[in-house]
Amino acid sequence: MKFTIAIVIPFVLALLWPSLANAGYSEERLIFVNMTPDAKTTAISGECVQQVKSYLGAENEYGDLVVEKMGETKLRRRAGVPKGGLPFTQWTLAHTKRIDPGAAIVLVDCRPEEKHFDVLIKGFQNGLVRVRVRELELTAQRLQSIRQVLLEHLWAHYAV
Amino acid sequence: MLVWSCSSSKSDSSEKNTPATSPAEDKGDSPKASKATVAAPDAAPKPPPGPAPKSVRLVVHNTGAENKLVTSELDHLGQALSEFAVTSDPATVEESVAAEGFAQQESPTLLESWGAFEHVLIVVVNAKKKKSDQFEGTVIILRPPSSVPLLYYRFDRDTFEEGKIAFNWFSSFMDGEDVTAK
Repeated sequence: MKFTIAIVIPFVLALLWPSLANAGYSEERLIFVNMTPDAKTTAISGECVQQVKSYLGAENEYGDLVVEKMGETKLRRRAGVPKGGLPFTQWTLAHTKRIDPGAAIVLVDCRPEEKHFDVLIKGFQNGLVRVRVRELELTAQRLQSIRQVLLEHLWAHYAV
Repeated sequence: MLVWSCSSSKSDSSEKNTPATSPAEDKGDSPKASKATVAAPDAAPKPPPGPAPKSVRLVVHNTGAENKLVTSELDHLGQALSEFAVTSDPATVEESVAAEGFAQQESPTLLESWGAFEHVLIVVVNAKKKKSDQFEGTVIILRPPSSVPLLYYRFDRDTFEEGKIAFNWFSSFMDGEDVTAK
């Protein structure tokens, strides 16, 4: 009997450990895609997109976030919008559901040299938010301000 | 329909601009039933002599019926903008309706009428009574005579909490030298 218990309990604990360890903590997926057109992509634009991505994916008070890589081609295929089609800033909830109904989605087009910033965000529990900035320098302060509101929208209404 | 507007300057912070609703709006009457333009307090003291203050034209327009809650949420915006000070200059219903249209398509006439202001802040929301999950809105900052919005912010199929996030953030974005810096 003791032998059986000694075998079974560690086995059960081993099976349950992942869920026990994560009790009260969430892990969610975020699909993040750089939508800056290839012809407009520069080192500066790439840095801008990377800054947004790293900020959203960083550890935060809400939970763990797994940022999934996806290319624009695959994204457009799933959304059903070819290049040159409907601008991503006008995509709807139906588009985002086709991409992945269970993940948050952030699409970014950042071109600091052109004072051009577009983002579409689908949070975990809410609708779509679109932010467009033009004719303003994308200063560090301004970019930080944008990233902060994106993070808030991403996790809005999220209950752990 | 709620219309709340003011023009403001940063040089005078002695006055506060607080959105308000008519009694009919407080009862949640339909947009068609109640149209109101709410003026800011008009006992504005004369500004001290000096360079012309930067001015901000604010036009708030609710196309839905839930004015009471919207007014409450917009109070965040009003409080933040109060530091820009206020002079009495209410928008007409026509202006606010046109501003709503501006969110979809620019209007040269409207831009011309806003020429005296350094910035124009348009807030259009559609708050449907008892459907808190169907709150949508658009926030725009313009710098006349350019018709290109410096900032365009759109949220849809969301809750009032989302609107609060937008308004609070917008206030901070608008605050200080951030948006006024050229």
